[in-house]
Amino acid sequence: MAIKLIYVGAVRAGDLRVKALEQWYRDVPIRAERGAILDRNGVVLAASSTVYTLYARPVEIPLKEQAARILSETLELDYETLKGKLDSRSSEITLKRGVDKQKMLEIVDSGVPGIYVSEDIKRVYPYGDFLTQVLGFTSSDVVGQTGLEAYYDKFLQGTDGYVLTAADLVGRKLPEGETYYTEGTPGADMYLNIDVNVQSIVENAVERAMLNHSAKAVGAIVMECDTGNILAMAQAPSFDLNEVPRDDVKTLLEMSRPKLISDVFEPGSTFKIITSALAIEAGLVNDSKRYYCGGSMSVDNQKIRCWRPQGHGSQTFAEGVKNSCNCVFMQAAMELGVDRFYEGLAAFGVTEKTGIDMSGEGAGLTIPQSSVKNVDLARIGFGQAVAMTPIELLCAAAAAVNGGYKVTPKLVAKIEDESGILLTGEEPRGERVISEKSSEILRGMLEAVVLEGSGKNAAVDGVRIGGKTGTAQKYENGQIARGKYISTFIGFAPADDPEYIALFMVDEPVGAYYGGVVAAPYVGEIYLNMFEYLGYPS
Amino acid sequence: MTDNGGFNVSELRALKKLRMMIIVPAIALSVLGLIMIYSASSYSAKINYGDAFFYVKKQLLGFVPGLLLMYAAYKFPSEKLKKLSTWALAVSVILLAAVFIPGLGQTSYGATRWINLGFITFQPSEIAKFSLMLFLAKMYSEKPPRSVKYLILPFIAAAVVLALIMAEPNMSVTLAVAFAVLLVTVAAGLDNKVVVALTVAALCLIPVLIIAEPYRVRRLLAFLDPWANPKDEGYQLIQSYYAIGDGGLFGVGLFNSRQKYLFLPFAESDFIFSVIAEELGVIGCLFVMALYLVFIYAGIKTAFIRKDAFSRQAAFGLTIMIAVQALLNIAVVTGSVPPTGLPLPFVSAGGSSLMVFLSAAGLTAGFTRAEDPVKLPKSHKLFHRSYNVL
Repeated sequence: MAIKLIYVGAVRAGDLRVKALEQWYRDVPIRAERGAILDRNGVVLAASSTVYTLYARPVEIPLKEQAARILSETLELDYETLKGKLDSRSSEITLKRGVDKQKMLEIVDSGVPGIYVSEDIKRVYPYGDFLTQVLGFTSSDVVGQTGLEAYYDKFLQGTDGYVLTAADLVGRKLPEGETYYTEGTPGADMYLNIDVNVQSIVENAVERAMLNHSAKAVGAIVMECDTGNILAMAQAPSFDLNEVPRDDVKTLLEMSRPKLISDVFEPGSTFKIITSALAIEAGLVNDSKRYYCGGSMSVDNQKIRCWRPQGHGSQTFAEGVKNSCNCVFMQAAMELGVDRFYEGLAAFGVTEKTGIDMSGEGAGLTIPQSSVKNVDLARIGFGQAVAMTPIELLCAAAAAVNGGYKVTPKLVAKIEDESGILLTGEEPRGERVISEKSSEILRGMLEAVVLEGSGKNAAVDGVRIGGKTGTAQKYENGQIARGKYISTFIGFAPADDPEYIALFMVDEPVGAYYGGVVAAPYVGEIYLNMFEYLGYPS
Repeated sequence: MTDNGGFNVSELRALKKLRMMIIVPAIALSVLGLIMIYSASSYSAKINYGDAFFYVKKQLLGFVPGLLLMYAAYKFPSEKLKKLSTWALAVSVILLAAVFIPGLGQTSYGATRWINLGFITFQPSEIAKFSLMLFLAKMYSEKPPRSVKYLILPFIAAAVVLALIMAEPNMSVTLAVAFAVLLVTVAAGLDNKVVVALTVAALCLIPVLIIAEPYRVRRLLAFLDPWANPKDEGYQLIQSYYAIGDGGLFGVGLFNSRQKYLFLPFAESDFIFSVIAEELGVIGCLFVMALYLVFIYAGIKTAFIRKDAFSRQAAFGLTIMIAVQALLNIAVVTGSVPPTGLPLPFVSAGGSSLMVFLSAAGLTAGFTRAEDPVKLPKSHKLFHRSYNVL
């Protein structure tokens, strides 16, 4: 017995004391201020403001009716419900969350005993419905749930502080009990590569495309061609981050999913950028070589049509690009052969996630290399029988025109707190995919698309723009869905030495559906406004 | 004053020393009790009764008369005590039964253990356990339990008392008294074979009790691993461990307990030892345990030096009863045995209980009076014919 006493009292004393401490102190957290999210120029996109949560300890309130009246009036609560809570045996009840400072002080000054206050952080998004899917939102207790708020939560969150109050079993403060304050650490601030002005331009274009084409969805990305830094990323339909529509969870999940990086689609003609790059790199392209298009081509006894029923006749490869002729790309793909083509797709990252700094990224799909038939190869050549996310497509296109090296898309420029920079988005230059020369040839071909081909509508005075249109049929349950298209345009500028590359896609436009008609004009408009703002290249 | 019973001066000095070894620890523990009750209960008493001294006042109301009773018991002639013991037991049994009379008995925590006479509330079991010891002393002194037939009457008496206490219910006191009865009977000269048989019987009884009332199984498990059920069975023991752990070797200082802020249940009664441990540390606990050991040693030594059989048996019985209860309480608080609710003699809150304990201590001390004690030759060998040590 004495041994047990000494064992408990001396040997295990420390460990028991630690456990006992937990019950001796009531802890009320002081929420750490969540870090802000800012654009590349320091414009605040998400910030925190302090609100208060009021608690009451019924045991400490002798005059329950009076207290219930004062509290229900000031806080706009139901008297009966509140009275019931105060009469209950619970040791602590939450009166109201999100109370502003003035109301909080009113309650504290009213003299009602047994009221406890804790600080809380409320998330505020000054621009409302802006960059919605990228920024994401937080839960009611300010934990990131979607987008960057979730992906970089541990940086933004900071460390909560605590107020420890010596209390008895039911939480009453002890008569001479000590109170300890533990300061929290505020969360780090996060600077994005996003530029508020460019984002506004893009949001605007997306919004109008949505209206003009009665589309199901519209999305757009503007990225720096060399670095992968994302200047803008917008998606509609969307919602105001300050009023997250939580009632309809299914719709909320649909609207908050960053489709541009999570959902794969069959790219169609925009994919021809990749096929072209591979064909040029493989030395299969020269000015004298001619390809014939009779409106369709037979591969493995299957007739595959070009988009132009009457055909394009005899063309060079460059003319095929300009005309977006399917037959040219079928032949190019078959000349490359399965092994060389698939090797190239892998190098361009078609089947791999880009590594963008956001959760929920999807990866492209291809037919397994071992079971690719000629007919599949021909289709892949012009962007069918392959699925990619828009961001994968954009990155592959960037690599094809930027001089030939891969880029990793990046939303965050840096994260820093008082102690300094915690994380930077800068990445070393990616590996080379095609040669500088091949890239240059391709740029020329793609500029021709805008100058005189299917991408005319993207042309802007004062800036040389290159690009490629795409019109993909949609599939539903494995069948081509009649009348449902995804219209895309990928454009880069300036065409001779690209700084920016943009993707614009309209999902299920009503009426016109060619990428050159539905998507290209918006890219032109975006570049026009962007260069007005950023200044034209000299 | 002049009659020294033919003792020489050194023998008288030895007797006086023995007497002091009984009285001083009893009073010291009672005074410590008053202080610790204040410390343990001032917060809860202030909240529940609006008076921080609520329990202390009640304890003082037991302590002062208790001292008078102690003195009277000390002076009480042993022959008279022997004659009265049968009556004392009879009255005790009646009181134990009276608990079940509605209006007289008082129920709390689901057990009917108290008699409320308006001006005083007491537990008849407190009186009965000592009455039974005295009655057994009388029985065994007349006819030592060497033969089974001499066991019949004492065991019937014991069985009646135990059955009534168990009916309250108060399993802890029942077990403590049963254990004391066994020790007294063994010491009185029970045959070895019977001792073994009784031990086996007692061990067999434990599973029976467990099956009869399964909540005891949970309590048993709680004692082995209190953290398995920290909110239910393990709660009390965990809180006691926290107190002992917080106290460490030297304690957090008088009145500085944190566990008394309602965390420790029954901090002023069953778990007062935990508060002592927290405030005075392991060192303080060992000191308290030493006080009990001095008391027990002196009580048993007194039994040995008496010549007449009743005095020997009575001194032993009273001492053993207190010893069993003290050891059980400390064992519970330190998690050495399954938890059971027993107050710590002299220390725990309970005015009437304190009066009875002080009286019992007074009676024990009374046997050190210089009347006819004789030093017995010690020739006891373990595993002899019997454990008849007296």
